[in-house]
Order: sequence, then structure tokens, then C-alpha cells
Amino acid sequence: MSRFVLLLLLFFVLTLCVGVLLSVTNIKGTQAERRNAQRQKDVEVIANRVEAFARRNKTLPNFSSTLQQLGTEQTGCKLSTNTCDIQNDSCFDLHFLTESKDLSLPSDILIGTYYKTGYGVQFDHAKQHLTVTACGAENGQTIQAERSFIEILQPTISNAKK
Amino acid sequence: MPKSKRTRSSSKPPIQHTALMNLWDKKSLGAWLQKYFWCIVILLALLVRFWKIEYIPYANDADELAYIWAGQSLTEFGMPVSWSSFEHAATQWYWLEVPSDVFSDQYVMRVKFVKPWFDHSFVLPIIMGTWSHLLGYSFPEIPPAVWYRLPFLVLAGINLTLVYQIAKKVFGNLPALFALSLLSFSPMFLLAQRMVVSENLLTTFLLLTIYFFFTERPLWSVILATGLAGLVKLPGLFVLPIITFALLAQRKYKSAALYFVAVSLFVLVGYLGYGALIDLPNFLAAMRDQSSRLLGWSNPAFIFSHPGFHTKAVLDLSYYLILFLGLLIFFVPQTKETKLLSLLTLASLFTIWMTSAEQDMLGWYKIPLFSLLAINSAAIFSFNLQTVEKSKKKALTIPLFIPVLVTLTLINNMGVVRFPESPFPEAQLLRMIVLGLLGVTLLFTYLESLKKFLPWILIAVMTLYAGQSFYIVDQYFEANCKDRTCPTPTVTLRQKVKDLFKLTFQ
Repeated sequence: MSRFVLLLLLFFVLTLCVGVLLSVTNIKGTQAERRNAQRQKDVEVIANRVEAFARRNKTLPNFSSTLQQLGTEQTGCKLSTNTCDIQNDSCFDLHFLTESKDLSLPSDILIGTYYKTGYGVQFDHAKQHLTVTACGAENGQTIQAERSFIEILQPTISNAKK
Repeated sequence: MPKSKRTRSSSKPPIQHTALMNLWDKKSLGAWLQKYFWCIVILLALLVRFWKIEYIPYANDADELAYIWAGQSLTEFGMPVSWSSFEHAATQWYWLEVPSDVFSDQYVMRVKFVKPWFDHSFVLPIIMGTWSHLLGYSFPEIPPAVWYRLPFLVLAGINLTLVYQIAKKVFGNLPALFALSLLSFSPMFLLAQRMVVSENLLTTFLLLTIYFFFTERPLWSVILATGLAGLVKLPGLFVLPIITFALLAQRKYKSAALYFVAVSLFVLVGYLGYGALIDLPNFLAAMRDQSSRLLGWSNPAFIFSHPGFHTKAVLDLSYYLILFLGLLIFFVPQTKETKLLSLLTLASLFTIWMTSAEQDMLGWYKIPLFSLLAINSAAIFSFNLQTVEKSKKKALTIPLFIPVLVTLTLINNMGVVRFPESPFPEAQLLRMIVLGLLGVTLLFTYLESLKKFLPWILIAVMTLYAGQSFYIVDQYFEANCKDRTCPTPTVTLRQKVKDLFKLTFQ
């Protein structure tokens, strides 16, 4: 068989080996870092969706003041991880924010599902402040996205005049 | 080199001139062509596979994306995530919105993902994930089809080379060239070879196993090739009992036992190791689920009645040409090699039967089978040669029905590309063509003096067959999508070349 074909085969075997190394090894926690980066994107997506909803409707979903897991399950949503201690047994469903029954908010790549996303929300009613937390964050990191809704929910006088 | 030529060339110093003369020397050219013509065929085959590679199969084919997403997420996060049509536990549903900015149509806007995803083995996802990262795309972005299909162009080249090499080893050079050309320019097969599906990679390792076995390479190389075939997709293990029995028949009992045990362990450790690394209970549940899926009684009939290698049947007669000629392996005198090829063909057919649903079969399951059938198609020349030897004639004759069937395929395949405004041929024209073919066949059957032209006629029809495949590949998308909306790639080769020219000359 020609050497050229053997070289091509070698290309595939090498790609496979590199891929296997990428997949199964976790050199310096690279995969955990990538997962954390994804979580950071996800919490931002969730916070942005809530903000867009608030701007559109001038109201907010009925958030709890204690940390509550996002998802559709009514029970079994308690979660205890390095970064979260969720005591509320029911999940808070925010999937409607996507405005499509076929879509969902992001779920944690390791611990989350559509039903229990692995992300938590907490709302400070006094400060009108929302915190979205990634409960599956690794390497001791805290991954959160925060939004203040004071300006959105209480229009300024100048805006009101308009 | 003859002495006189050397003297003549020494009187005219430029060496290039001599080389050029040699190339055009009839004898040298013939020898060169015999040696390297297969390379020309494979280059043309790659060219036709590359032409409009991003259009057909339609860009972002769901089954291709399954591998790409699984690979991206596996290499990026260490967790395979992709879409699935199987039943899954509630804990596995992980839905997500997919960015659709790399294609203009809205076919893959919303995808429901599962994690961990165990619908297929990890080998192809890992290759596609790595390739996707090299292209600069991360989960769940979809690379343009023109780029993500490129590794499969390489695989097609390897597979065609292996088909030729195996056929040459068993049946000789000219029959092998016929088998290679038949497969290289079969319109639907060449479109299937572009697809990112496990069967294309499985075929590589299946053919490597056969090649290593026939060329009596060290046993470890046969074990490795079979093991990889099994790792790419479990049905690839259909080769395991066939080679084991072939070794037993050669009274190589130790080798047979070693081969069987080593391949089985290789595959078992590979799969279980992967499952254990990700999520063993869900992996075992997926295996259980897949091994008890609904199958079909009448799959062999379905295969014979459904030409094509995708979900839709396409009336490409080269499918039946390969099928009919390939099945002739069962009628030629049985040697060690032909026996093995016929058993492998049967085992491949049975494997499709045992692993797919009736009337809901995914056409690419047939890729390994048809690669084997293409090798087998060379047998008809071998059979003919042996008959000729018996009758003490020296000339290589070609069975008349081969050029007739190829011509029939040429005529039939004009219907593969149909524009909605002219779907049918002129009735009288078609009648004339068909009657003409019948007339020529009659003449060649009864006029012995014409038979010496058969090789040239076969070469001519095979050239037309190759040319027609270029025409079909070029026009297929346009013809199919003229009266309907098809997934149209926004990143195309033509546009990339234009961009490159703009960048260079501005």
C-alpha cells in the first residue's frame, strides 16, 4: 500500500490520540476551567433573559429572597455544593423566559438538567438586586451574575415625563 | 533501456527530453498507466467528492451534527452532549438553544440535548471534536459543512485505495481498476462518503483488517484494525468471527484464539473504560436500550428495494450494479480469499439486518456492505479469465453484460438529476436510445468479430460513467431545490475562493 495512504491513516490516528488526550486528561484543570467559563456564560444568559423580561414587562417573576434552584421540578431541588446551599425543595421555573416551549435556559454541564439546572437565583427585594449563581462551579471559584433592577422597575422622573 | 536509445539521447544532452520521450513511448506509457492509473481514478474520485461538498448531503445534516456536538462537548468539557432520539432518564435531558448563524435556513434552530450522550461510540466524536477545535469552533457552534466534511474526503481516499488494493490482491489489476471506478463514480455512494458518519470510518478499519489479513501482516496489526473497527461502532465486529474461522481453517489455532480474545478485550475495555470515565450507570442503560431497540423482519428486502445511502431512496442504478455484480462472488470458483470476501459480505448484510429498523433504516448503514460488494464486483473478470484459461484462449475478454449494464446505468441515471420544469425525457428519444442499446447488444452477442472492441467500449462507457457523476454532483442540489426550500450553506467553497482572490488582489 502506498506510503501516502499510510500517512493519511496516521493523520486520523494522531487526531484520535490528541482527542483522547483532550477528553480524558485534565491537565492543570483545563476542562474544569472550560466548564467554569461555560458556567460564567450561562449565568450571564440567565441574568440577561431576566433583564430583558423586566424591561419588556416592567415587572419581575416572583423570585424568592433565599437561594432557589432553577428548573421545572416541584420537589427534590435541594442542593448542597461548595458554592451553594439551597434549602428550598422546589425549583423555580424560568424556562418561560425563552418565550418558546421548545427552548430552555442553560443547565450546568456536569450537574444540571432541564428539570434541575444546577443554577440558583436569589433576589434582594429591598435593593431590587438579582444574583444568579452557578452551583456546580469548580476549583473553588464563585461564579455569579448580578443585576440591579431599580432603574428598570422604577422609571426616572425624566422618563415618566416623557 | 535499449542501447540505441541511450546513444541517441547522449548525442542530445537534455535529460528531460529523454524522459519526455520515454513517457510518450507507447510501451512505457502502457506500463506507467497500468501501474498508476488507479491514482488518477482516485484523484478524480476525490475531485468529484470535493465538488460542492457543502451542498449534498444537505449542510448540517442532523446525524452529522450529533457527532460534531458530542465531540466538541467531550473534548471541551469532558462530557458528551448531543441530540438523541432514544429514551433517556429525566436526569439526562439538557436542552439548549443552538446558534444558527452559520447557515441561512432555519432547520436546526432548536435542539434538545441529552447528557451524557451515549448514542454512538466515542471514536468519531473525538475526531470531529478535535477537528472542530482546530477550525476554531466550540460547543455548540456548527462549523461550515465545507470544512467539517474535509476529514471525510481524506477517509474516502483511504477507503477507495483499500478497495483497489484488496481487489488487486485477489483478482488482479484490471478487475481491481473496474471495481475501483465503479465505486468511485457511483453518484449516491460518493455523496455518502462525504458524510460524517461512523460507517465511513468503520469501513476504513474493516478494509484494513481484510488487507492486513490477505497480505499476511503481523497478527497484532489485524487485531488492532479489527479492534478499532469495533470501537468505532460495535457492528464493525462482524468481521471478528469470520477472520477467527478463517484462521481456524488454516489450522492456526493459537492465532485464532489470540485474535478473538485480544479483539474482544480491546473493545470491551475501550467501551467500559469510556463509560466508567463519564457515567457508568447511564452508559450501561444506553447499551441496554440500544440492544433492545425495534428491528425489522424484512430488512434484506428493504435493502434491495431502497437504493441510496441516506434516508430517502434515490433511483441511482449504480446501486444495483454494485449489488448485482458484488453478489456474483457467490458464483465464482471459491479460493481462500473469495470465500472470506463472500462470508464477510453475508455477515455485513446480516449485521445491517440485526441492527436497524425495517423501513426506517438509515442508508449509511450500508456503506461497509457496498464497499465489500464493490471489491467483489472484480470477481466477474476473474471468473471470466479462468473460463478463458480453460478454453485455452489467451485474450482477456469482457462479459458483454458488463458494458451493457453500465450503459443502462448511464441512461437510468439521467433521471437522478430532474429539474421540475422538465422531469421526463422526450418519449421517442428515450425509445430510440433503449432500442439502440438492445440492437447493439444483439449485434455484439451474435457477431464474434465485434467482441474485440468490447474492452474499448467498456473504457468508453466507464469514462462516460465518471463524467456523469460529475454532472450529477454539480446539478443535484439545483435540480432538487428548484421548487422547494433546502438547507443552503452560507459558507461555500466558491465564496471562500472569491474572498481569497479579493484579499490577494486588493
